[in-house]
Amino acid sequence: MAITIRQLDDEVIERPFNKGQFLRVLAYLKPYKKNIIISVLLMLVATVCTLGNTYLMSRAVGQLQKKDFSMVPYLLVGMALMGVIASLCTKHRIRLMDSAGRRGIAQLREDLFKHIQDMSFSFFDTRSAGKLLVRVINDVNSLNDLFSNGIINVIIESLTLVLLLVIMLAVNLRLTLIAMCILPVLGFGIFKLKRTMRKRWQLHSIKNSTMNGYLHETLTGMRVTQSFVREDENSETFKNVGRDVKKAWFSATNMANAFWPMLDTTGNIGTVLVYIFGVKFMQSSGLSLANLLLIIWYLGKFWEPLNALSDFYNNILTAAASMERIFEIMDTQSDIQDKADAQELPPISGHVTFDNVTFGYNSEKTVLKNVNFDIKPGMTVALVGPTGAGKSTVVNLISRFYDVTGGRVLIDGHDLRDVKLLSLRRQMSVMMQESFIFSGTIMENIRYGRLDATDEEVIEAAKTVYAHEFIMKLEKGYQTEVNERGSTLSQGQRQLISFARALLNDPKILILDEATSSIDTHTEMLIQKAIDVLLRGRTSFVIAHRLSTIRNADLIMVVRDGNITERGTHEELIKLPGGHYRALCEAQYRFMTADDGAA
Amino acid sequence: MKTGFGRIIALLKPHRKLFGVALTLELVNIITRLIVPRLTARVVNDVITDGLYDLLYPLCGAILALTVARALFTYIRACIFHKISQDITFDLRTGLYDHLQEMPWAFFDKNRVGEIMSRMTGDLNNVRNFLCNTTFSIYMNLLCFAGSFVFMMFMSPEVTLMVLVMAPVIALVAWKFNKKIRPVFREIREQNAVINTRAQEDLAGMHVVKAFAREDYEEERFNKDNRDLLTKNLQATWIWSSFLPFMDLLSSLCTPITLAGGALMVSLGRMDIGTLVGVTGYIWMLTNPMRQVAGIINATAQAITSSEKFFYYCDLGSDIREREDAESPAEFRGHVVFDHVTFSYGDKTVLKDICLDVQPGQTVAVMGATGSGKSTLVTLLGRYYDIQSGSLLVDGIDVRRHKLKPLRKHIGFVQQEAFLFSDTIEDNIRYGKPDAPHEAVARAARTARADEFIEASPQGYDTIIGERGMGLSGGQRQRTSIARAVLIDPSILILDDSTSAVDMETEYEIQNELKSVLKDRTTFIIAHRISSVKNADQIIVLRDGEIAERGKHSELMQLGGIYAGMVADQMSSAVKVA
Repeated sequence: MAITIRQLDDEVIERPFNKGQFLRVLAYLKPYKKNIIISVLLMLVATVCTLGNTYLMSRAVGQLQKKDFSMVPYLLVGMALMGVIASLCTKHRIRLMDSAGRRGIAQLREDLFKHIQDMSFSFFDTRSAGKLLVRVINDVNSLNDLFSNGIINVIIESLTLVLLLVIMLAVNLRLTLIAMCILPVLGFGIFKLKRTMRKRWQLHSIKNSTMNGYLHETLTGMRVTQSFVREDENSETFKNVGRDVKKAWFSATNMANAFWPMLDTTGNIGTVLVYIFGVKFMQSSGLSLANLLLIIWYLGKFWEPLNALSDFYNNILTAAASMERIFEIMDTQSDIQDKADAQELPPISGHVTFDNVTFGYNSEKTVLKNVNFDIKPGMTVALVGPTGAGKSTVVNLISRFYDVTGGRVLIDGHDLRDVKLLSLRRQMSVMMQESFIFSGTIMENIRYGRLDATDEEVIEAAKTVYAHEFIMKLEKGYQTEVNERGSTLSQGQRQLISFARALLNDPKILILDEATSSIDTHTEMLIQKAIDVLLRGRTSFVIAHRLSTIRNADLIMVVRDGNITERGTHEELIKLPGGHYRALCEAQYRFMTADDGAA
Repeated sequence: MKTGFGRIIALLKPHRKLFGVALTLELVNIITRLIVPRLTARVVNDVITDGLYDLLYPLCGAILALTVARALFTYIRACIFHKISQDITFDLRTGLYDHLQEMPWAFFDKNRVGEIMSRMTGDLNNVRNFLCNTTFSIYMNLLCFAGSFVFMMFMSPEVTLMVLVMAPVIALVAWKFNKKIRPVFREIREQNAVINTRAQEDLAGMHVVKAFAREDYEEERFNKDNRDLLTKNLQATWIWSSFLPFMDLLSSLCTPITLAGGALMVSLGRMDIGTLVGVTGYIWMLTNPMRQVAGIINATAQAITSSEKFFYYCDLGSDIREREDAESPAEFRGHVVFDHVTFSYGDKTVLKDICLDVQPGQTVAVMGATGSGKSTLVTLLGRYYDIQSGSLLVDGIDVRRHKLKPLRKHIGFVQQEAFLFSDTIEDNIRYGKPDAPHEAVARAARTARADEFIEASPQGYDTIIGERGMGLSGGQRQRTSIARAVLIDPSILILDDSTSAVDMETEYEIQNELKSVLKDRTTFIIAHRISSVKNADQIIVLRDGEIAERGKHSELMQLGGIYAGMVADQMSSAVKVA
């Protein structure tokens, strides 16, 4: 029994540091060079002030011990001043650096998004939308920390460590060396344990997303679960995944729980050592109380920079994986690009020619072989043939979603590869099997076809394709909010909306990849009528399943095994003995009328 | 009815012993934290100032011992808190999951999955966070504040009162900060969701974007959202950069204030230097709780709201429950009788006075326009909704008196939306019968005409499909889900528009296959194509929830009503060749 759920290989979470990629991201901060330099200076001042604060405090205590009160007020005012300066510097440093980092990251995200927009269909064929989304959102986000604070922190913290050491050594060499005994332990603890902790947290987050994935899926499929009475098994599975999450959690937190107490103990051992030897040195070599306290207090400041450095180290490993995924996309060039000397395609009449076209999605498999046809403006062409024969490929080549591997596709005599892509696509409309609805109002969805259309024009388009009637029946009419997953609209209604969208675009060439979804007879008739309107006066390519659409086409082409095996009008093809089209018509008729003796 | 807060606290009840242990350990911890500065003060006073060097080792030893004990106790305490909170969340989560599995379909019609998910993840996490961190934080901060206050008062009341002046200021600033930043954080979360949706839609609808050459428009929209997010993020930065360093400053100012007061006292000879050093050790313990107050109140409020949302689902009862005296027929034969069945959904009557007698082995075709009640009619069979009046008998027993699970196990329901899980094809087909051997799975696939594409897939039956696996076409999904229903060898098979994405020829083959495999099984077919319904034993045409026409194909053709009209429509597109 499948009580455990399949562990699907998750994305790699960490990667070795890649300097080249790091520098590329860093280049996004270049415009903010000034911000960064000022930030570093501010932070330097803040660090000096913070350390100075402690220094002044130790002097004050030393003065007090000597019962010398003359300097104490100045020292205290100095402490307060240093506090104020540090606080102001920190405030402005945060603002400068955060805005630099976030602006840089925002720019990176926009560049990535733009790059994805420019990719061709072959890119999207091999990548799921979900994975791309993770790149644009999560991977970019994960760089944020590193670039807003991480890099500058690492500079400052290293400086702080050096400063601390220098001052301590200057104050008392021997005592400092003794205090340093705990440093290896501290360093080891922080770096090694944090590394392990990070890995365990990552494991937990993987387990957690597995659990959430399972939860989401079984909630969505609850109707299936209940009708197949799978509740008990699913409940058991869910418990098991939940236990996995719990186990991963404990494995991470048990370590985290031990981490701080251990550091605390190590720090205290150091302090006690300093006290013991400090007292000895006070007796033997005249160490002052002020200096003893200074070293003890400074010792307490050591773990903070170490901690920050180890965070940075961990951060950079996680970020490296994100950077790699981001640049993998940024470095993929679209295989369909405008030539340097590409011309604007002038307004077309819709004359489409395939000149000896050969095409394969990859080098191993040829989908179309030496296809030739010439379609005059305004003709309606129906493409018929079994699944996978190449019908969709033919229409995809017309809108240059892919480039031909041999031969030419010409529109009004222009080779598609010689014209600007946008000027080509703006003059045609492609409607795929599934009508996609963007979230927004119905008005906005139709207007997607022509952004500057007025409300009246949108409504006019909807009326023409018979969508007006059902839209007006909705509570808010054209202002009804719809979205892709919402079930407000039926499949047929979505189709009508996308027809209106295409009509508004008023293309010279129309491509219709007709869906065979379940649509009741009434809507189906509306769609049929809408299609008739749409096809009027344009060159159209229709991949159709409804014989009625096909029958009225000016030209029917049967595509089989990458070739056009039959072409002609309905009347011509139906007379072709042994023809595919004839067989298709026969079969449909047979299914309609065949009586299996039941009635 | 308990309030959200009461219910959260009640969750701790079964764990109260362990919880008590953890609280005691923490109490000891805080005491050691209070004692250590006292010992430090003595090192400075007795050892350094007064030269009692014999005390050095005992004092240092005591400090070390206390530190180690504290580390140990802290570790144990933290582990206990995590254990308790994880156990409680686990129980809550699995409890709700089991509860949801029993909810009727009406519940899933009304509640969006995303909504339920956020109850079971984000909100539950808020509750866990409260149990694990906030309860501890309240306890610790209270003790710290009270303890350090007492100790400082004991050491030097004057200095303590001077520091205490700062306490309300710090608390107030922290409070204001919290109030200011929360709405901005919420806006950032919302804007993140906006940008997520924008990118997601763009990627999912890429073919439309490309077809209309709207890349520039999409970029513009995305960039605008992205810039909005940037602005909001910077807003947050501006707020916290004004507050956090300022709060740090206030805390750090306590030290010179203490020293100033201390200096005065030392100069007056009313305080010694060691005590002064000791007092500075308590400053942080006294002021830090002030900074935490706002955060604690916030987390508590959040946990209460979250728990109320979470418990809302737990408290929802299912109106479809198996009766005490529920029974199962000796043998499921598939005899279905609708006896004046009326069903309303909310205020809307979906089915009116339906009467239908389906003998075992018969095939019933249900036709009608969208929204006429076809799907509802068949969902009543497995009692996914309860009818309001009339009775629905399966093998002589009213469905409301049936044992729920055996009833559903005997119905093979192929739903309109062919939902498949992210799993192998094999396990998907096996969903209703996890222990079925591979041969049976392959046979079912063959019946549903799914074998061909499965065997052509890279890993055959082991190919992972769904969200994170191979994408299947609509027709392939439908065939897989038919195979899934066939495998359980049901007494009643329901095909709810389940071959719409399959071409006519394949549909025809599947139907013939099903007929031979499931002979003597009762079948309900919902379809639009005449070709798939015309051989049924009974055809019923629904209109607005009522049976408008019924009979065999030939009878309905003679009637010349809705059905005959549909046939004429569809025939007009079929062409006679010879």
